[in-house]
Amino acid sequence: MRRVDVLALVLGVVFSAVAMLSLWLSLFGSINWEAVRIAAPLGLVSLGIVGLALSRNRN
Amino acid sequence: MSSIWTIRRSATDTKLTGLCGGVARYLGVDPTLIRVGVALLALSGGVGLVLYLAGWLLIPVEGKTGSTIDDLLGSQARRWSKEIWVAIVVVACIISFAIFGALTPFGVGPAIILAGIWYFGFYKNRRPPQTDASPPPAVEVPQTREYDFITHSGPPTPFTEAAEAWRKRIEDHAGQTSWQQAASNDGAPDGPAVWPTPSSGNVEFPSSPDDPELEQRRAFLAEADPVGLYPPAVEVVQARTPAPQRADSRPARVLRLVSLIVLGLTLAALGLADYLGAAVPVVAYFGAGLLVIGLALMIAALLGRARGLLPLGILLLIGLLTTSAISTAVRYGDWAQTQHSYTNVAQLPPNGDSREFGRLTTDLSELSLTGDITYRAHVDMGTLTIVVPPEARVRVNYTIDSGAVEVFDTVVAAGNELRDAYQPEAPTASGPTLTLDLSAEMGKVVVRR
Repeated sequence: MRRVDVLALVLGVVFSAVAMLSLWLSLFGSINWEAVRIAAPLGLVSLGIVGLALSRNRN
Repeated sequence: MSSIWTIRRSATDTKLTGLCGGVARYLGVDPTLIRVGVALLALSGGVGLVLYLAGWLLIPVEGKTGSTIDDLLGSQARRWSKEIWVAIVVVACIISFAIFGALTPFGVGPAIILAGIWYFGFYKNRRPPQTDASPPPAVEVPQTREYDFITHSGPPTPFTEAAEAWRKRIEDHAGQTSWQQAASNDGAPDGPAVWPTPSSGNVEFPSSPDDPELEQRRAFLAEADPVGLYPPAVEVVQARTPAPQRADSRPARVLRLVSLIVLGLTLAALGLADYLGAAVPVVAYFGAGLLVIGLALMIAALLGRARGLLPLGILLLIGLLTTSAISTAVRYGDWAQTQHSYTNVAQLPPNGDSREFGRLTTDLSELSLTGDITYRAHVDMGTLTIVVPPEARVRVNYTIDSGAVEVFDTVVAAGNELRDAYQPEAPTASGPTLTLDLSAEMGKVVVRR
């Protein structure tokens, strides 16, 4: 089974999240920043854990 | 490794460009520490991003002589001295910090902490540097070596005769071959030293043709290397380690092609919508492009990552953050706003008002009109807002390179190269006309009562 490219996965998720946030902000104009302040750190920590888990040495 | 200019990006320990791996090897620390440091510096006004980009552009990868900037600019980049590049990087860091310093959460704190850790934890405790002018410490290499041989005092035996012959051969070899010459084979930095095979030499051996064992010993000792102690001398060629080139798999290449096509179609669709009057902000272009590349990278995590997607995503992210910061600053920053208010015609500036960047608001709501007058205003990039008297007859002549015109809550025009006149319905049947000559290179013109 092909190994997942963790760097591409993590950066792809980050890029997509930032892009969707900016698109929403520029097209609709309002964002609940209180929710972002909670969701962003949680999301980043979760992403880091996923990245660590996927990139561990399986040998 | 006495000069910082000897740093090379790693060709093997790479996550993005191999810069952190190369710096970590230069400093002798774990690459993860360098990567964490760059991430922290990126939060310090974007300085980490600027430094990383500069390192990627200016530092060659190991095994290569040219840097990325040389590949991009050719021989033109080589003419610029290192000091000029350092000055450019410093200025870029200052600009980055000036723009993003107020937006990033940690300010200059991470940069100061990292600088302190580097100075007190590494630089101050480093070994005394070797200057390039001083030669490396000389290694004492004996030209000849003294051997302590045990001399047998008793009657000769076959063993002592063989030992004596062998002793003479060693002395002969030590006299003929200098150790320095032998050490010159040490051209390969990590390879084992190759010592020359000794010659057979002049072996004095008692002649006794009747003794077959003695003949065998003589034949044995006549050979230069009878038991293969010395490997055959091979010419050591210092081979440069070529930078490994990762070959993209076919699915990865297809994915890259599809991604670029989708990216082009997305940007074209946004441009078409903008042309048709949808007033798409610049941030949306970068956001849509980044979304396409982000989704492509997620798919690439399974199919294989093609070269080019990640740098493109990083460039789009930088563009997105930059345009977002500028638009936010223009929208909310007091420093980017200018407000004028005129109550009579004599106060109006003959050449109008202008602003290069930001918001320009002119309040003419209290202006007393005694006859037809013309007011001019211009912004290079930003928003131009004119508040006109409630009962005034208004004519708007607008010239906008890229942007939109909004008159009395109605979008009159949007897009590029807007040059026209608009006269809304007048509230009164007669009276003086206020003509507004409004222009913007990139931005929005708003007229309201």
